[in-house]
Amino acid sequence: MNSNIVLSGSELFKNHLTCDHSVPQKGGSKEIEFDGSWMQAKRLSSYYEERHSLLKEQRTEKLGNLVQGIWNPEKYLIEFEREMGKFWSNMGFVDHKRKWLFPEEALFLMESNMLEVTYNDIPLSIEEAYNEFMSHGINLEEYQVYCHLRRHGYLVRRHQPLATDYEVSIKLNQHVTKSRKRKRKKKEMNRNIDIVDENINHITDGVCEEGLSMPVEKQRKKNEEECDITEDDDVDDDFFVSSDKKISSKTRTSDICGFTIDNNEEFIEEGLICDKNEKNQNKSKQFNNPVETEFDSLHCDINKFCSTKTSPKSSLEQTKWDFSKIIFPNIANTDYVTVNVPLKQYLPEGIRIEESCEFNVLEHQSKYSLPRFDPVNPNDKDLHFSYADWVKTKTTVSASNWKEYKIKLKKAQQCVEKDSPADILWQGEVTPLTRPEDATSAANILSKLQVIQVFDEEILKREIPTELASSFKISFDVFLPDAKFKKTDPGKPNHRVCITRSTDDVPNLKDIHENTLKDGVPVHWAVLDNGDVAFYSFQQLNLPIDITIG
Amino acid sequence: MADDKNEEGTEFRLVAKDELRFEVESKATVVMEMMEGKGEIFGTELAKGRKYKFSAGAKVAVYTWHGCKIKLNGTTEVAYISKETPMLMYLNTHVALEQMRVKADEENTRGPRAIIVGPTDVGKSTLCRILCNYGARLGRAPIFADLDVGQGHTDIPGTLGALSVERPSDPEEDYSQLSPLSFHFGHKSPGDNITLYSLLVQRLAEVINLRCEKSKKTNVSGCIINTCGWIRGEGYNMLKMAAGAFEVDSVMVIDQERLYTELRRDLPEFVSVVLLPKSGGVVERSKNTRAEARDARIREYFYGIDNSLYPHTFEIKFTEVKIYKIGAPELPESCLPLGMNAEDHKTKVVPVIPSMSLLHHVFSVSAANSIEDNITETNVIGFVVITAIDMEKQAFSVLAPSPRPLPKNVLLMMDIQFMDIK
Repeated sequence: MNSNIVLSGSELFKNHLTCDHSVPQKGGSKEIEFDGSWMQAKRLSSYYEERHSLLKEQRTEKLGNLVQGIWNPEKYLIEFEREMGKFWSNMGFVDHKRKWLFPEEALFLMESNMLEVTYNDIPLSIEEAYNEFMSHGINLEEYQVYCHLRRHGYLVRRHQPLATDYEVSIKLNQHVTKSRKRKRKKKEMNRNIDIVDENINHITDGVCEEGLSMPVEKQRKKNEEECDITEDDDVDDDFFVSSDKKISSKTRTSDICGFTIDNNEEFIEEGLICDKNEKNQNKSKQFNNPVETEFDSLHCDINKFCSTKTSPKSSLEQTKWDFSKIIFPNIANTDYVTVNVPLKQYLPEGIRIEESCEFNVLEHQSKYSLPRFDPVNPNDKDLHFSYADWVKTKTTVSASNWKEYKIKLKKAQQCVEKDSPADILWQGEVTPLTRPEDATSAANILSKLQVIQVFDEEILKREIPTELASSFKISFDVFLPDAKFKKTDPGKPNHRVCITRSTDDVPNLKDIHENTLKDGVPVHWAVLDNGDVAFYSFQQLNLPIDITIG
Repeated sequence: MADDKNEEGTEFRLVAKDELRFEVESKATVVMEMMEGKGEIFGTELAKGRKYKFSAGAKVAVYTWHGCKIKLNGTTEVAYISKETPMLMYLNTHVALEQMRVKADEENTRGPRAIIVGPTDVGKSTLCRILCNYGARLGRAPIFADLDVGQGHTDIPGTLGALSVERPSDPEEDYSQLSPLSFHFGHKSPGDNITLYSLLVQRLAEVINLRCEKSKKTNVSGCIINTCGWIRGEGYNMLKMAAGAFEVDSVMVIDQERLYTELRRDLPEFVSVVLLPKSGGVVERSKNTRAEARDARIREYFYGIDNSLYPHTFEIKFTEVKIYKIGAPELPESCLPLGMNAEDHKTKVVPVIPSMSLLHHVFSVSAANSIEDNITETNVIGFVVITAIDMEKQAFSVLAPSPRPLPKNVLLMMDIQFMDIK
C-alpha cells in the first residue's frame, strides 16, 4: 500500500503471476477451538501458515487504476471524486454532488485493489483501514457478512427502513418505486425469490464442503510432490537390484514352504517399498517367515505366523513349575532383596556377574516411586454396604493348571447363579433387564438399563423470557445481481439480513417478530462463527394437534 | 565418569553397572558410538564403532555390565549417568524365565508365559523388550505379544499384535523390521470396546497356541505379554481375562503394590505373581507426548525411520473397496429383538458409507476377502490413510505403503486419525 514504491517490470510480472487468490477455508468452531489435542494443534498451525502466506502476498496495481478516496472520520464516510469501474452503479450515494462510500464498501474495494483511501493525505494501509472503519459505523461481523454476500455476487445495501404508515397513506412509497422497474418486477418476483433461496442454501453448503476439501487438495499435491522427488532420487542401481531380489526370493519361498500365495502377481508390481523389503531381507535372513507377499512387506498372515520351520510337534501342555526352585525376584513385602549369582548358562553372552548383591527396596521406592494415593475417597472406607451373603462369598477354586482352573471356575459360577434367590425371576418368559451379577455399582446398573437422561439446563434458561430490549436490527438489504439495478431506486429487496454471532443467544420470539417486516421479504439471520457465515431463517410452523376419539 | 567435551561430541565413561540415559531434543538427532567396552540398549548389545542415530524424542538408556566409553554427538535434552538401576532384578527375572525354558525343553512342555502389568509410564514395554532380547541372545525365540492398543509396539496403534523375536531388536528400529501378526481393534483404549478387546485377546492367544503347537522352539521359548496401563475397574478385569486367555505362568507387576496384592488374591495359586521395581530413568509422558508418539508410530509405518520409505498415493473408487467398522452403536437391551444379546453389537461388522467424515482416518486392510469371512477375527495385512475424498468423482485418495492396487478390498475403519503433514 506504499505508493512510493515503483516496481520494475520483472517484479511486476512476478507479482502478477500469483494466480491462486482463493481464501483458504476452515472448519467450524469445533475445529478452531483449541481442544488440547496434538492433531488439532498441528492442523491449526498449518492453517495459520497458509492464511499468513496469503495475507503476506503483495498486491500491486497501477496507481492510475486506483480510485482515490478521503476518509471522513466525522461522518464515518469516504468521500471521493472520480469513480472508475462498475462499482458505482450499486455502491455509495450522492449528496450535494459529493460522492460518498460507506466504510464497508470502501474497505471491500480496498481489499479488492480498486481504491486507495487517504487520511490527512497519507494513504491508509488495509490494517489501518480496518482499525479506523471498524471503530466507527460498522462492526467486524457486519463487514464479514457484507463481504461474504458481495463475493457471491449479491448486491448489498444498508437496510432502508420501510415506509411508515403515514408515507403509505399519502402513497409516497408508491411514488418513489413507481417506474419501469415495476413492470419487470411483477413477472420475475416470484421466481427470483425461489432462486435466491436455493442460492443461499447452496452458499452455506458450499462453505462446509470447501472447508473440508481444500486443505486436502493441497496436501495431496504436496504428497505427489514428495513422491516425485523420491522417484528422482531413487532411480539408481540399488533400486532395481533390490526389486530383482524380491522376485527371486519370493519364488524361493513359495517353493520351499509351499505357501499358497494367491495374489502374488499384483505385488510383483514394483514399488518404492522395495527399499524396506531389501532391508528386511538382509537383516532377518534367518527369519523363517519371508514377508514379501505382504501388502506392506511387513505384516504376516495367521497361517504364516503359525507355520514355521518343520519342527517336531510340541505339546501345548502347561508345564508344572516349581516356584520354590525357580525364583523370580520380588520386592513385595521386603526391604531388601538379595540377588544371587545366576548360573552362567542362563545368562546371555557378554554378561557376567561375579558377586551377589543386595537391592535396597526401601531406598529405591522412596527415590523413584511416587507415593501412589488410593484414588478412592478415604471416607468411603468407613462405609459399609449391605450385600446379601451369597454375593459376598468369593468362589475359591483350587487347581493345578489353567485348564482345570477354568473348568472348576465355570462350575463354581454356575453354582452361584443357581443359588441366587432371585433366580426364580428368570424362569418365565419375561425376564428382568439386569442380573444380580450386574450389581457391582449403581453406575453399572444404570448403564445396563440406559435410563440416564441428558438433562440440559441451558434449554430451560432459554425458555425464560428476557425483558431486555431487542438488540437485533436488520443490517443489510440484499438484492439479486441485476445489470439494471439502480441504487437510487432499488425497489423491494429480495432478502434482509440480521447479523448475530454464534456465541450470542438465540433471538427470542419478540426479536424475530419485530424484525420480520410487513412486506413479506424473508429475513435471514447471518450467524458468524469465527469468520464463517451461515444463514438461518425462522419459519412459521403448526404443531400437530393430538385428537382423541371416543 | 569424565565428560570430555570437544568438537567431536561428548564422551561418557561408564563403569560396570552404570546406565547412561539421554533424551534427544526435538528437531535434533544424536549420533551415538561406543568407543570401547561392552554396553547394551534395552538388552541389545551394542556393536563397537557402529554409529547409532537417534531422532527427536528418543529416550535411550545404555547399560553396561562391564564398563564402556560412549560418545554422543548432537544436542541431548538430558544426558546423565545413573548408578541405581533395577537391571539386576530384570536380569534375574530373565534367569528365572530361562530356567523355566530349560525345564520345558527337557520335558517337551510349554515354556514360560509371562505377562507384564503395571500403571502407565513404569517401563512395561521396556522390560518386555529386555526380556525378549535376553531370550533371543540365548538362541530362544520368545513371542512378544502386545496388548497395548494405545501405543502399538509391534505395529501401529489401534491394533493388537504379536511377533516372534528370534534376534535382539535393533537399538534404532525396535521391532519395526519384524513381521508382526496384527488384529484390528481400531480404538486407542481398550475401554472403547471391551467386548471386542477381549475377543481379540482370546483370538491372539489361540493363534499363538497354534504356532506353539507347530514349532517346539517357539513353544519352549514362551511368551512375553505387554499390557496397557489401565489397571482399574474394567481394566483390571481385562488383565485377569488376558492372564486367563494366555494361561500365563507368571505375572510381573511393576511398581504397584496394590495391583500386586489384588492379582495375588484373584489369580489361581499356581501362577507366580511378583512385584518388580521401576527404573529411575522412566520418564512420565503427558497426554500430548503420548499422542505425538502415536502419530510418530503411524508416520514411521508409512515413511520409515528417518523418512527412508516412500509411500504411494493413489485414487480408489468408492465401489472398489468395502469399508466396515466393528461395533454398532449401543442399544438398550429393552430395544433389542427377542433373544438378541447386546454384546453381539460390539463385535458386529457394520458397513460404512463413504462420506467426508472418513477423511484422515487410518484404515486396516483386512486379510479377509469378503464379509462372509469372519472379518473381526481376521488379521490385517497393512494400513492405509484416506487423505482426500472426492464426493463428485466418488473416489478416495489413499496413502498406502505399496502401489496400486490394494491387495484386498476390505477396509476396517479406525478411530485413529493421521494427518499427512510434517
